[in-house]
Amino acid sequence: MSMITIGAIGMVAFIILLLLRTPIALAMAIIGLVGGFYINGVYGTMFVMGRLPFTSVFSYTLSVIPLFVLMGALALHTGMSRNLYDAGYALFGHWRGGLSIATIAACAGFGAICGSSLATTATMGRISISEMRARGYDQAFSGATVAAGGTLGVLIPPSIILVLYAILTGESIGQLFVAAMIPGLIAITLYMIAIAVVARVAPELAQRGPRLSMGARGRMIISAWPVFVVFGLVLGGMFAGWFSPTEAAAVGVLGVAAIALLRGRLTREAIKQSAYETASLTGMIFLILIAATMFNSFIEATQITQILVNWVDALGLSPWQITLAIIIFYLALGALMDSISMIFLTVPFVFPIALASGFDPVWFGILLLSVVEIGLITPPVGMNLFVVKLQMPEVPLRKLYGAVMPFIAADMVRIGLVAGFPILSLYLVNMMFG
Amino acid sequence: MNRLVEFFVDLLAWLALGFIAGAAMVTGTDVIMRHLLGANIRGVTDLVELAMMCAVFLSIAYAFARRGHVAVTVLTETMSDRTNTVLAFVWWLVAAVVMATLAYATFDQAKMVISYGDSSQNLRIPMFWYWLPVVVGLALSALASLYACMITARDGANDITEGRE
Repeated sequence: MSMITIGAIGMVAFIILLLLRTPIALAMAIIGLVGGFYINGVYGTMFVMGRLPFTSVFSYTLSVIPLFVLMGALALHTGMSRNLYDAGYALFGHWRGGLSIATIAACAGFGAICGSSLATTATMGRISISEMRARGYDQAFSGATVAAGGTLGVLIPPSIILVLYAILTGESIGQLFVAAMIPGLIAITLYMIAIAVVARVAPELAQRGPRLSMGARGRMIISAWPVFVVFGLVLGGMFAGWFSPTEAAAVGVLGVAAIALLRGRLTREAIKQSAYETASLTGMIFLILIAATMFNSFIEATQITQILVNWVDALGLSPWQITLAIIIFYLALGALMDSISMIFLTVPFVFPIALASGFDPVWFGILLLSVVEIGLITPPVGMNLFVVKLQMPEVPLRKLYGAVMPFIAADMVRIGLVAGFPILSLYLVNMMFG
Repeated sequence: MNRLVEFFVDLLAWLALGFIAGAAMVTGTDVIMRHLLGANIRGVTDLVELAMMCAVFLSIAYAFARRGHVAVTVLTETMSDRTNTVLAFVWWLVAAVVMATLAYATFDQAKMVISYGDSSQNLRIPMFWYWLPVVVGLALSALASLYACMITARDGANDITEGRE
């Protein structure tokens, strides 16, 4: 049997395993192991597999992941989010659709210290859904706002997805974080525009809140200071060259813990929940990392990646066509798979194609991030919608699917901008790193 | 019996948190010392790497025990609860076999690497200490997968939403 046939059988078997609800990491590990046994024999495979769990984790650079995960978990469980929502309300609450816009602003702020979409969605959902309900906002539209806002958790740096991309491709974490800044701001703006348009077309869905006095607004904005301090410390310190990404993440953990301690919020319960959440997410990410390394060692042995690159090259597609094909591929995959698994599984295939097509690897990372995060709000898997649904069980999922469409439209516009104008991602990188 | 297992599962998370927090403190102290005193803590990289090896492999075992590894449920959502439970039970059982296989394979490698007498770059920590959490963590993951089987048989399959990005 030829290597390409073995590789193709492996891919088909992998898809069947996924459809049979095999945990994604386990499916990758099974194919890696069984495929390895077939190609290299039991002894050779056991030798290679005996090293992979160690070599795929033993890296100083990787320590940035558990540290950022812990920073986000601490921020989540020590209540930094409430003040952010209040600050957002103070700024935008009196606008038409103001509570939704405040939710987006708060999600962006929380994303700046959290790096996880689900955590952002769950946290902001707890605070904002009841507020919007109390003000007579349409339930489905409120839920869709929170789900869409949650995607800002990975778009706004620090982003765990960007860290994973950097590790898989050898790109600079710092440069990727800088590159994500302008697209992140564009995402916030487009979401706000989407809300404003919906509120104008269907005012009954999202009304204005009362206008607060200047003093009250000032106090509410200032109350969000911990987030600004941590965000400034982590990203500012990294961009100023004071710390490496790992050091920035460590400083972030200590900063969040110190602020929570000062405010009397570093309770035993907060630490306990942070421990559980950090262990759960860290374990899941690293098992996928190890399993993806096993899977990719099998794929490399079959030389499928190289064949794929040669095939795409032979098609003679223009960079635009390749970009479009990649975007469609990720949008389709994002409807079925979670973003972390998607990144681990596909980057080893897609990145060589991007490089061979002459794409800038930093810009490509931002494009990938932009496309991958849409999967969080697209049916049928849209994880953020599921999280919101848990918080508002009375709203049918199909209504949420409908209500999230304006945000998906905004995402499409953003992807078009990021894909069509690489300078949006690279301007700050060129300015800061030369 | 169940409470004892739950205690040990929670302990995995607490230990992982301890190692990550320890790494954060060592790194943070090093940054502060470097900027204020112009001095470094010797071997920070070695210590952080060791802490991370411990944290990561304990976390993997914890995630298994909490059935926290994500799966695609698009197709199986259309199937009966019983079918889903059977599938979940089978996969956690297979996970136990895979993790036990990996634990065995890494144990062999660990013995070989340790026999070379290698140590870390700066603090000369024997590599034994870096391999230990790998072997122990994978073995614990195999046990945790069996625990996940038991929970699945008792409570049925649940769609995993926790911990996804």
